[in-house]
Amino acid sequence: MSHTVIVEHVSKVYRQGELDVPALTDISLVIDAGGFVSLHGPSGSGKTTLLNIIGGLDRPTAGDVIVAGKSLNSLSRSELAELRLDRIGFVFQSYNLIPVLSALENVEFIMQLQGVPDDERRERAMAVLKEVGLGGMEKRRPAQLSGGQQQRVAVARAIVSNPDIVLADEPTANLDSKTSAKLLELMQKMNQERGVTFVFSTHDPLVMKYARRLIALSDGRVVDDQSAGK
Amino acid sequence: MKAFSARAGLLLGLAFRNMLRNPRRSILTLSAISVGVWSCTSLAALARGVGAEMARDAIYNLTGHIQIHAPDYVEDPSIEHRFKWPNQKINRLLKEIDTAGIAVRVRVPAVVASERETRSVTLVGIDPAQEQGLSFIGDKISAGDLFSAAGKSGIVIGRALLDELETKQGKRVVLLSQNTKNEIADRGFRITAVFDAELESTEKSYVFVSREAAQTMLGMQGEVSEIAVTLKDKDKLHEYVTRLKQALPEFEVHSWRELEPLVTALNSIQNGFLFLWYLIVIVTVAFGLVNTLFMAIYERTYEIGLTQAIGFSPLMVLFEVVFESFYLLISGAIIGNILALLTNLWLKDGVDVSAFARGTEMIGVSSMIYPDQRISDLVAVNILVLIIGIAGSVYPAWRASRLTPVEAMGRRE
Repeated sequence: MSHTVIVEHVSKVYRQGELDVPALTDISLVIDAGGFVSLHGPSGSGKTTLLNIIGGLDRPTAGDVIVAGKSLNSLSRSELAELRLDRIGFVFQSYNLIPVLSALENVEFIMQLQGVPDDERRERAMAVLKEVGLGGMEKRRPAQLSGGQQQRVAVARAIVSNPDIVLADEPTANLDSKTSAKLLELMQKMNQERGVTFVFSTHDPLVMKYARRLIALSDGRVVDDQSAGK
Repeated sequence: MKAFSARAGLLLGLAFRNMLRNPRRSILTLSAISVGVWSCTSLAALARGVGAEMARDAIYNLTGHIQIHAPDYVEDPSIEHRFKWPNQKINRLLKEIDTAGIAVRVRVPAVVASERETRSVTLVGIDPAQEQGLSFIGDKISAGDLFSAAGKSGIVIGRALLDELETKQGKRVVLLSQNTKNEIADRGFRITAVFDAELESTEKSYVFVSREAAQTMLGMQGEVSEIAVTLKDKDKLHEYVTRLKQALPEFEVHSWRELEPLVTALNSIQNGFLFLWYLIVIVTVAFGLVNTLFMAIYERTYEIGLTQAIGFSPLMVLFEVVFESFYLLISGAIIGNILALLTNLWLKDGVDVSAFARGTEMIGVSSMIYPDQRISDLVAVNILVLIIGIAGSVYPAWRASRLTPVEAMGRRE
């Protein structure tokens, strides 16, 4: 099985005034293609920081991350942006969508940046919106969608361009349990049918129930890493 | 760059929608830009109108576009500096250029005396037919006919001078001047006509007799003081003056700009002040725009982080903000230009500044100002607004582009 992400001895230290606050300490792990992985732990355990570093949104103080065979440390900000565009999908906790764009346009956003022709772009975006259960809501702006619907649009946007990996930062944090379950089923379906790798940061037990690999973090260190059911 | 046009289209679309996002703020910014453009272009139109009026008055006030004199006449416009007329060479040269009118004159300092008052004036001996359409005297006779009644003994004087001399039309005045023998020549003339001019100073400065009468009085038979020429195409002024100067080294040839240095200087000063005004207004507007953009960026910091997270490069963030500024500037400029054109339409019959007549007369401006909206001013103002506005917006745009996704998205919490 190929490796989608390799994390090599990553540490992250934040400077707060006169103090150095370690957020991650010497983390190494490998995420295989097709994985459905949760990074879980209490608040402040470093799961969002790790997710940000894997996604090239933040840089480690030490160590490196390899995504799709590329060392993130070697990439400029623009090159990181290109990598995120082509290889990584993101789903955030909330406010995932661009408010001035409709659901369809939000889903088309990444493909438009990638230069996908208009017709193909529209067709793919419509299809994936239908797939996530939002057929008929294409023209709605984010403000006209519920929280769960917005997260579905975000998932649609994240997967529509067939990225290597989707990073989801507490995607169910603002959803009720029923909506959370529906969203997780959707992502599980995408993982199984499309083979997209998903990595979540979460402290939601429901998410952990769906994950096939559970990586526990505490005080910036990996304290447990096991496959579901073991 | 990958899919450059698709990205540009996306950025332009986003920037446009962002502009519409906060209508009240955008309307305020648009208003500031529109008023700025309107004030610059409208002021330019009025200032150009004043400038054009000054130039027109200067040219119409006996100067013409080009004058030919004997050497040193301009420095010392006395009878000593005269030349023989007709002159075959000058006639041939003037036929080669595209003239609208040619007036040959005697023009010397003189004193005019009525029974009660005496005033120093410029005596101008003219051929009335030549002055038609070339100078004010051919068109400004308000009472009586030019020399017709009294023939060679008729004189035309301005209304203001008539009052100062405490005389009236039909009465006689005496002209005194130096003749060609350096003796005092005097002769009585009957006031056959009175002229009204835009400027009171003009009415007080000149008296007109027929050229033949002036030549007889001064002993200048076969001689004149100046030739004034008006052109059909004033844009060829420089070319024709240069040509005449080269061809007539034994004469002095001047353009009206050289003969009216005050008007030329005022026009230059006016250009400088206009440009300064443009800069002040446009820079002020640009500060307002920059402030608006900072507010917009502050409100959208999370969104900037989000767009970077999902694929925007720093350069695209910069362009998104610059494009929004461009939309505001273009829309504001269009509204400002429309307002300026409507203002010009409203003022097309002129602005009456007669309440300030004494002040305006000092700079040779009549009591009506007609807006003169030039394309060059519109282009200059609009280009300046765009350049300064875009340049100003680059700073907030650059600040936005420097935010990392994590910084930007973290600022919401």
